[in-house]
Amino acid sequence: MTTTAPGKSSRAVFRWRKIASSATLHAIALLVAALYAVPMAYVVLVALTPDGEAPGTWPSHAAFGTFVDAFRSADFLRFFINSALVSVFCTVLQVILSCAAGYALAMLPVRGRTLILLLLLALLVVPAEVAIVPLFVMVSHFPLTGGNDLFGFGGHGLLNTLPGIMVPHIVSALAIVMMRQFYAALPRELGDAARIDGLGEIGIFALVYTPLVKPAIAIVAVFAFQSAWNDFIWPLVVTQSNDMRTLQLGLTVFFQENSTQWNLLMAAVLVISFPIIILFLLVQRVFNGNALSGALK
Amino acid sequence: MLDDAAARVGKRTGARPAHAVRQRARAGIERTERRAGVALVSPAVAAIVLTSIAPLVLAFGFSLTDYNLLQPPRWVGLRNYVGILGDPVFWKALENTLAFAFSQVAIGIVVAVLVALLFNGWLYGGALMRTFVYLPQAASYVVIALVWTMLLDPMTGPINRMLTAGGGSPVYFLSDPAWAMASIVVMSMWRNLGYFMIIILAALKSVPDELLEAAAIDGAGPIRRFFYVTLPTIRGVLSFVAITWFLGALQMFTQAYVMTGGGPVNATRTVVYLMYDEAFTNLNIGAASAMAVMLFLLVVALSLILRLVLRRKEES
Repeated sequence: MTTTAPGKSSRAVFRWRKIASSATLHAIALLVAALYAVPMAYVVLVALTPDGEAPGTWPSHAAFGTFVDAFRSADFLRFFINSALVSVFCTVLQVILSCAAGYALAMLPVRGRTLILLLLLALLVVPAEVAIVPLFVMVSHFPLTGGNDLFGFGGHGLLNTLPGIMVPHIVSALAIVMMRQFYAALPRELGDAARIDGLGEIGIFALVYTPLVKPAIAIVAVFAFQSAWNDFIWPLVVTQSNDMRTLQLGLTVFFQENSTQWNLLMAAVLVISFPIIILFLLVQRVFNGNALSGALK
Repeated sequence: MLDDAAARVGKRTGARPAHAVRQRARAGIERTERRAGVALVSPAVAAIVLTSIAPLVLAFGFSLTDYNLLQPPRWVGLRNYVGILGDPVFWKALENTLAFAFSQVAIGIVVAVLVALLFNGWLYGGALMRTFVYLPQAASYVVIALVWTMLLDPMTGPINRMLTAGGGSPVYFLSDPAWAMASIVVMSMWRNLGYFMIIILAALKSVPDELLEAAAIDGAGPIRRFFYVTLPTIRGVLSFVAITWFLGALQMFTQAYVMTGGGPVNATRTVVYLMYDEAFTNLNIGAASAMAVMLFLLVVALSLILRLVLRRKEES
């Protein structure tokens, strides 16, 4: 810096320039943040607007009753329970499956390991929507459920059931690949030492290595929860009755039937987004972009 | 490391040459490791086969049949594909899908890099402002679509109220064929920006400070520093972002379903939307599967091409 600013006056100019450019950057950053914060604030404003007042005007009072009304006007409580059951179950299952498989593929001599890994990597580019139509047929022919016989005929299988909604979210190739990457970065000596101390293979996996990848588990869990909680097209095709709908689907149907009740809609929007946004804020510290792109390198 | 274990085995089996004992012990450990490996990996593999691979194989199979869920599938060869390729609506949907994905990613990646660069430097309240940008990608497309339907409403929406207050006439963002797709592109970009910004931000942190300082001392301005130091370092991450974003965008459905119903006049009809209609409105599983197969082939081909193009750029 001293080499570029030899004189006293040019040093002052340099400082002023620095302040001016910092002010410009702050102004741009504020503008960018406002593009996000203003619509969010508007959603809250509309959600608190009482019935009968135009959305977007300053409400005469903050009507917290819209949240109650939204839940009363449709089966939102039922939708909420459905969404919660589906998402929690899928998250737990996905974490267990991807930890187990990721660990085995990283640390244990599994026959066909390279083949399995290549298959998983290839599946990363397969769009989930490709599977929807055949998966619908498979789910409808699931044996011994919904009036189906042993060969999957005669009834409607898992259509219009919560397990049916869970099907596409119980496992994820990306989660397995990510967990494998994290386990592979851990030293093998830990396992060898535990083996000599007489710990079994499952114990080494569950008690030695898995506690070390907790941040990765948090990321996998949040993504699993998000994909199940936010899914729309699959619940749309697999459910028929109102009582099996998830929040996203229930909200869409409510919108199609009452498109002008923006205050109730926005109250529902806030309630639906709340759990997932809290989760994302909680893991923001471990959520590091490297963890996402690293899995594919 | 294995000597202890070998000694234990040795005690049990009596006196044997040390190397043979060690070999047996290692073989035993490997056998238990192998068994544990199979036990741990097979549930996930079974689930993957059931939920991803079997449907893919079935999609290929159904695409060669006439199948309406009620009668058993009837073999028709390539007739479904011929029918789809001769349908102008399919070409329109394909064009819409590619236009949506391309415009969203081409503009979005530039904006994401600029915003990431902005937040990479130190700012008062930078973490808070960054969080605002990052939040919408956690919410679902249904939620974002509803919020934007409200914002873009021709009568009561705040954007149109501002336009009309300024003396303009309202823009029918979602019911004007000229605006509908552009509106959905902007909305999707708005939602996804934060996710990709975070990934790029992490990549920017990995650009070595010494390199940037050295370039600055050599007299390179911020723009040249970006193009000659930063960009080459984050190129790999940028190509990851581009591919992920593009392939995700090719699956667009929810936004159009909620906001426009595929209209006006098919202006926002996408390949997935067409597939959904074919399967669940017309109960034509064969044709819908053929579309799924074509979407699959398109995605595979495009991801290979993108990877090749971006890798070649990386090498040069």
